[in-house]
Amino acid sequence: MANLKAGRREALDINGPLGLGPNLMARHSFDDVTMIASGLLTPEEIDRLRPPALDALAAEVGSRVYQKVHCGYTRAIDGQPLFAGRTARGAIYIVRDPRDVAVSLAHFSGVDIDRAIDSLNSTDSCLGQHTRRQGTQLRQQLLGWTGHVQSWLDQTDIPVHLIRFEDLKSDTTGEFRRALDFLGEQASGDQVIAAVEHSDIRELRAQEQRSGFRERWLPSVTFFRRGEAGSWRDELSPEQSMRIVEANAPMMQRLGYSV
Amino acid sequence: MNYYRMCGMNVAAGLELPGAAPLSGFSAAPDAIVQRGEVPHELQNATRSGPTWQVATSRVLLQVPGVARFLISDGSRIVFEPAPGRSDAELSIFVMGSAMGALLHQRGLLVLHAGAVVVDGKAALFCGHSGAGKSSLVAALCQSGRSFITDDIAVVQFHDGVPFIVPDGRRLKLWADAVERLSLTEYRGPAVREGIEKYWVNPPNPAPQARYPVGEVFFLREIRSQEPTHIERLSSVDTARSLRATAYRPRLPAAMDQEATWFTGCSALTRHIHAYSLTRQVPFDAADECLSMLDAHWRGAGHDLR
Repeated sequence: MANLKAGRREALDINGPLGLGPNLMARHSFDDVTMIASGLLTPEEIDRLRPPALDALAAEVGSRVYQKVHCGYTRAIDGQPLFAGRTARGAIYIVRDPRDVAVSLAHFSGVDIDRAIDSLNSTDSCLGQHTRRQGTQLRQQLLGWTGHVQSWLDQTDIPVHLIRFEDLKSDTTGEFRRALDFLGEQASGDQVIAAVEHSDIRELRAQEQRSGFRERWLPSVTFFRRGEAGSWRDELSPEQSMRIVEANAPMMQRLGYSV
Repeated sequence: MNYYRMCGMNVAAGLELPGAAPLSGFSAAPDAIVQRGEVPHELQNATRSGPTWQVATSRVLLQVPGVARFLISDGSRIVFEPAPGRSDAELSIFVMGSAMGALLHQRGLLVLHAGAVVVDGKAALFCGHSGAGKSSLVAALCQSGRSFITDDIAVVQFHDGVPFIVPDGRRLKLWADAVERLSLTEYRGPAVREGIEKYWVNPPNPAPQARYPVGEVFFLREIRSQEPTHIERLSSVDTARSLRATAYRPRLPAAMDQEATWFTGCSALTRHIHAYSLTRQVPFDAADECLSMLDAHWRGAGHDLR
């Protein structure tokens, strides 16, 4: 999307500004708009303030921007959704076979696959949950793979366009066009093709080889790895695969993944 | 009434403020008074507002839902009203942070979100967002022998055109991991708020002088790509812009119509200092690497004049 919007002849720098909106999950955005140090608040107190804080940030942006988030569609104690009001007009939801997600997560986080599977299967898993130190992102509840998908697909507050990663791999241009239609974004065939080329995994990998990637969690671990669908087959043991299926079968079937 | 010295002011407070330097009393009128009272839910004639705050001329209303409301007026008064069931102890940290910050802004001062230590008789400031690691870095520098000036709020004032900051008079605030990593457990005091694992910590080596001229400012930045930790000199334009972005509660100067004062103040400060970005790897802090880099910088070696 960033490449489409930029419309340049060469691919955008993966480490440069992508022309997206303010980081909604950043602690400093919250602290800035509320004038309260979030580090002094409990997670529940923060969650209670996030809907109005995000709404205020969104109002300042004025025009439409796209923002990547990882969290489940969650609510504060008083029932207010995190992305209330003007914060979210809609969402593109990209889902991936949880078996591939487990492998990818293990590599990204530098943990063994069994631990990644525990996290994937746990409704309590979160990003950015620390008590003895302060991260730069606020807590994001992930709700486990099934919980996460359910929270976004079954809510009725905002429209969601679902894309399966596997379909995005096999028909990138088609899926991207359908996403643009959902968003009401105009783009010519050439513009779409160029954007797809500029964000091809080979391009991203090459850039990362040259200058690293700022979204790595561990400096030594490559972010853009295989990027294939179904590579879990040679990376998971039968037992590991079964653990994932046992915990997530109904949702996997709902999304057309073979179990 | 409790009496404290903080941020260069004599403060009389109707609640305890752990973390502030207590005084037995003072003969002149206090610079600021903090007391419990009724605080409105809305400000009359508010000119700007946000999800938890409103600003009117000489007044700021701040709300921490479920905890307390604060009315800060005329650069000299903070009134607090705890939420039902909340004790004064639970909101003291908010008095010392956002409320005091608003009060200092109301006094027309240049209030920066920064820590500082003494280097060669001058103040070296470290600026960055919450979570950037200012306090840990300041604490590490103090552990290695530098004198502690301030941890969170640095008020810059000009005397004969020269910018100075004064020792804050308050303790360091460090998260549990940092206290342990820096071997500061024996200096650790109470939690800044019950249930939060952030603590008041007595600074090793508090700075002895009444004030220090500002010599250097380092803006902390994080990076996760392959670049190593590095220090890079900033241009005047980038320095002035970064200083403005480092204002304590950065929306307050605009909300209080103080942008002109800040523009003049940041330009003046820029002329008197050397400013750098200090870019380092997180989440592993690379604290030792940072300290070595700073030591080398201050010894005159490894000084990148890009």
